[in-house]
Amino acid sequence: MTDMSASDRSFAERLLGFVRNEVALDDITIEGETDLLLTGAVDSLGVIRITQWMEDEAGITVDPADVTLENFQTVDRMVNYANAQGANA
Amino acid sequence: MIATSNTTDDRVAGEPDPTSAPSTLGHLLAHAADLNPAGGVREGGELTTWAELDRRAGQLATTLLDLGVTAGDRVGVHYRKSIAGTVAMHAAVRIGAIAVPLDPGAAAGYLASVVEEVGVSVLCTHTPCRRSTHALVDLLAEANNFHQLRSVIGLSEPEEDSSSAITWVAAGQVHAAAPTPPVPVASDDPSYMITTSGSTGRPKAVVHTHASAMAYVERVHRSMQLGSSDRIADVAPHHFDVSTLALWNTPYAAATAVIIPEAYQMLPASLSELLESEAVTIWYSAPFTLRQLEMRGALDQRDLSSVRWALFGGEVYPPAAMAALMAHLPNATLRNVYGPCETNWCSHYDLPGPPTTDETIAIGRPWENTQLRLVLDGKDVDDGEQGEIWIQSPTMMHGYWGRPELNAECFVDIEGGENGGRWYRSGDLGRRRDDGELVFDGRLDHQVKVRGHRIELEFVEAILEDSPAIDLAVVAVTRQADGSDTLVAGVVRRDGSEPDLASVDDHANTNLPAYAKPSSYVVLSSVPETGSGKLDRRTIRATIAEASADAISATAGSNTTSESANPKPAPGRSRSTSDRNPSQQGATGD
Repeated sequence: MTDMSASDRSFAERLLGFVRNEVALDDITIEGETDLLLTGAVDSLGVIRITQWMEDEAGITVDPADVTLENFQTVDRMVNYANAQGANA
Repeated sequence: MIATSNTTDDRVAGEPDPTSAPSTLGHLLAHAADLNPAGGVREGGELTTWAELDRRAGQLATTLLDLGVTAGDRVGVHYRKSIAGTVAMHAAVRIGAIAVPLDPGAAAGYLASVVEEVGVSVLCTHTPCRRSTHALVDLLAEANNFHQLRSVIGLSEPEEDSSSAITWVAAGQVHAAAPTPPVPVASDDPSYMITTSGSTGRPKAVVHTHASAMAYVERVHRSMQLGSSDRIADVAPHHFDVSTLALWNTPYAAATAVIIPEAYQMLPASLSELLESEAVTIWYSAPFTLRQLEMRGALDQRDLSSVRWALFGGEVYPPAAMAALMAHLPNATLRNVYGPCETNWCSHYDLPGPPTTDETIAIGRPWENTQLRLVLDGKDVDDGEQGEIWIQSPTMMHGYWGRPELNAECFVDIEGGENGGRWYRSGDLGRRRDDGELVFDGRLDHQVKVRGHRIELEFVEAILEDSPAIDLAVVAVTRQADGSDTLVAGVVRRDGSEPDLASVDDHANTNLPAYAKPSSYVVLSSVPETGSGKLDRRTIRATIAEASADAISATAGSNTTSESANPKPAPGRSRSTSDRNPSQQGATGD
């Protein structure tokens, strides 16, 4: 994960922790750039839980139309998406 | 009474010419290549032509033959949704072997039980399943059983071998092989298996022949008037019988299939984009995926006018949600399909319009050359009464692999007369409405459907009870706030001490397919018994289900997509597991 402010990093780290500890189905090592979807590390329920977590923790509204490969394939992409939506960090 | 379909009215589809159409699965790819050189299977926006697929299946067939695979041998097919998986299914049937598609998301313990049940000797796979394949091989080696797995094909390079008994064949070696043409097979030779959880913790494998598979393919083709211009969404995993329509019917019609990777099923907004850009005409899945598409697929921003058939089956689609879906599929006929994987599709109902009541959507009437009876105590029931659905059809399975006792239970052979022949007792309950349409009315046993997957509750209970952390498990289905179902397990230790639920959940992760894992656990405070001193599972299930449902309605509120509602059931202390515990809300699935 690059060029993030301190507050971003904290959001990114918390999201990474949530995905690693609460969502991931498999034991693979998950980093910011790990493909969560094509590897099967996260299932559709996991995606729904991540969007809920982002809404709760970042105070944004996630439009279902935004829940796409482009925005949710990796934790890094999720963080970028949340930032673009004006996430509180 | 017997419902017999008429056999003529939909035999008008022009292509392919029945006289030139193949009669076994192994010839389908060559047939499609002849009829439509521009057709094939699309994946990631790229087309692989039928001729290329035929060549690749021929190369994999050669590799299988080189490894000593002969007719009737079981070939494991272990892939995520991909062209490679399609090729492997065709390669196995091409040489008269039996394709055994495995669940790419299943735990190694479950895969091992399937591999042992049917005696898989060669496993075809690819890199995305590398970890799971190694876990399976290690487990088989550890178990030290006389398992028959000798070779694994398709990982990118020969692996360091933890089990010296395994020959690893790299993908590159397969591509270097000369293709083998299809070998002749008898129509009653087995072609593929669909494995399903049994009621005892041991999986059972439904064996289809080339004849039963082709009978199904021909009926689908005629009934849906498939043609070479169709683009068929290939969405279901191969271990799920819904997948056979895209797998076999696409080449039969010389149409084009569009692979829908698992990731798109998790992301309905991406899925709808893909369906639009690929101009998909045919869709068939469990209701869950369609429901997700309607709820989260941003359909108001998509043009899905290319879809002409949207089929769903395997469980009930909520009638109230159907209108919203239909509004976004302006040119599609919505068809509810009924049929256990033992018989394939045997009846269907085309919705004339959005349901106006909350009555369950009918399963319709049997299609051509298929008989359905509703039977109670050996006699056909009257209209409106509930009976077990008995099925007689050329699309029926050969039987369960190596399980004469199950075959004796599920088949009824009647000599001569109006009801003569072999019947499959489905265990499903049905009823005929006044208008003649059949309605699904539940199960005779404890089999349930969760997100399209068939699950025997006893199977999940038997697996959970293998965990040293508990002595007893009772599993119930609960309905979530969004209308989908999930499993909740009530568990108990005989000495009354607190069970280690995380350890039970770990055990479930290792030994159950993902779709059969309980989403939460409840510690039971009491375990009622029946009058005869047996555990009263029925009462316990009802209590768990009721308590979970109460917890959901108390916490879900008006927003059906946001609140997490871990159940707080009442039968005792309850808790969800500390990690990896899906919330009650939302849904997963395929």
